[in-house]
Amino acid sequence: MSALHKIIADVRMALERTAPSAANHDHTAPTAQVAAPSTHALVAQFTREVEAVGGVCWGWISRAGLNDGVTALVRSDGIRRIVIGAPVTGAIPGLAAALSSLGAEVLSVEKIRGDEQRAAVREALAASDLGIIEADYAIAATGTLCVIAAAARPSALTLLPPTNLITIHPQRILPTLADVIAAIGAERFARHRVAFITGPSRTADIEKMIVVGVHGPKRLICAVVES
Amino acid sequence: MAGSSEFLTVAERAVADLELRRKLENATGRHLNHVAETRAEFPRFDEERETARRIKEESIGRLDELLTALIDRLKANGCKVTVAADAAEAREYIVGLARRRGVRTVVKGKSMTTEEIELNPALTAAGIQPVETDLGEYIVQLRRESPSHIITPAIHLSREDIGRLFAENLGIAYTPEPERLTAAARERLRSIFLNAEMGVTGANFAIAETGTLVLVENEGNGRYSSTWPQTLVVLMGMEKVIPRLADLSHFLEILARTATGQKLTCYTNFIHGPRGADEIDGPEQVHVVILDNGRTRMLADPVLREALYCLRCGACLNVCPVYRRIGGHAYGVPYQGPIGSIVSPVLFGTRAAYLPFASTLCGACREICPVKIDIPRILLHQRWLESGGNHGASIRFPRSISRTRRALTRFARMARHPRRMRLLNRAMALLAWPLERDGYIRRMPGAFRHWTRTRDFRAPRSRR
Repeated sequence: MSALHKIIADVRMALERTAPSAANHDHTAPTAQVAAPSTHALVAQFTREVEAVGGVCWGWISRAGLNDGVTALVRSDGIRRIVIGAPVTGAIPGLAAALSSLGAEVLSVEKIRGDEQRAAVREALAASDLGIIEADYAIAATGTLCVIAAAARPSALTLLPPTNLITIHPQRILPTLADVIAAIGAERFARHRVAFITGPSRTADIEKMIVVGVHGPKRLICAVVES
Repeated sequence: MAGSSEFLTVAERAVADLELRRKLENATGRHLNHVAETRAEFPRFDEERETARRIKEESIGRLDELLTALIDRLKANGCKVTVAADAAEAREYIVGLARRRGVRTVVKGKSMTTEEIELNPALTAAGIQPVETDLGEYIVQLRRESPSHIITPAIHLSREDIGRLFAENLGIAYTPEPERLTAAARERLRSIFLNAEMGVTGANFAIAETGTLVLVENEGNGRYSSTWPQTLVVLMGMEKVIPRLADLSHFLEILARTATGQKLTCYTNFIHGPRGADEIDGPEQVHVVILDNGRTRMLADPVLREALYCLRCGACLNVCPVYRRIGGHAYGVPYQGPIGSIVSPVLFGTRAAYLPFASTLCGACREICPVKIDIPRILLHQRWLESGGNHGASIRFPRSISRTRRALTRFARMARHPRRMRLLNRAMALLAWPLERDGYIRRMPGAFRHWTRTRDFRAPRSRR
């Protein structure tokens, strides 16, 4: 009997069960029918919550506003190397060009073909100052951004650069954690790496005092933008 | 009784260490305030606790089915899955894998399960360097200590202690400021992260429906460990499996609120398997090691089984009057505090046999536990088991405790009579008067000197 089967048999014996049960247990209590909050209300709540966890939220802005904001950020912080992940709902036109014209090195991530390209993108990620990506979903109740990894959307983009700018489409801000998990769905969770990001990285390991900026990004900026 | 005199010696020393007590009170007090705030602003908290508990009851009750389903799905996702009957098997697998893959450095996300199996010494013995990357774990690793709390490993250290440690070991100028210390650790660990060949993490939950491992954290070291190196090992206790994706939110809504007073931790990571051929990051290989190491023994005992519901939030440690006085090292095992006292005797045997007795049974742990584990009931059950399962059997306690028990029995007889109590109070007040300083008696003579060795006694007031 393989080790696996033996352990399962041990567990079954411990539970004194001889046959698997067919019962389906649904623990989700029927939710009271409440009117869905408006998009504006969700954006407002999301903005508040992001700021409460130490992030910065530019609120609901236009594409032009986003370009201006990023340009100002790059200038004021002396940002030199930027990596942009592939979008979800649509690219922000002119963003990469605007950033390049400031003299920054901009890499718009594309699908790689082969180990050499992979190594090159990894190197760029490790050296970057700013990572820009569009989140798939956001949670209004907690100020969380949900990023599903894919070929041109590496997880490390929201991990390695010290500053992150994450955009979210207003219609993709959902009220609760349960809503977003359901929206992503079982199939996507089974096939993709997913990260839920709530504020910049932090620790309380020294005397339980909160320090922001540990291994993940130290600065998290969000913007609600329709692409 | 096995382990008792050692535990009592270490505990007594810890209790007399006022500096340690100050640090513990400070840190645990802050935690409790955060928890109270976050619970107050979340009206559905108790409802979610109830739901989470029911899901755990179901999960543990169907553990064989769920493990089979989980393993099938993980394999379908491209993971290599192995089940380790005990710590030695788990160590062997992981060290063997590291050797085969030519691993020189292992970056470790915070995992109490890897402490349980004593993985680090095994890696070191094989010439492989394990580097703890959680800041608290990194700190205790530099001090060559074990963690003293299951989620805040360096809770027993002050910022000055850590400042001195970093100055000695990282070659930086001494500073006690948490910001600067954290920045120094970030810098040092970043290059290690980028070059390590293998990451080892634990898992908070394993979803049978999707074959997804869920890892929560605040620092980002879990993400690094599970994303950048070419090989990932996830070591999980078998009790971590839950049935459906839809179950997860009930746990996430209560876990961070209770562990740290946050709504959600900074990162919730979902690991499904190795990277696709066209992906830039993610490990080439994902190995999931599912650990028994005594959990089937807990499963077989209907009372102990409840201990498997534990989410490892650490809240019970922060409210426990015993833990708050003696700290984690006194327990002598990786799992400390109330939950440690009920699982450690099963997982670690005789060296933890005394721990169920190191409790006042006040029940604060049961109150705060997010999945409502009845820890005092299980403690009593463990005591019963330890005494041979016979309620009438007398337990041989060390002599100082027997004497205290006799004195308290005599006091109890007096206390039942109001007039005798009043007389006793007056006598005590008269006798205590010369010993009293600022309302406390810090040293009592004779048979009572043991009491005041580690406690200050409130001076009795006689009512006129």
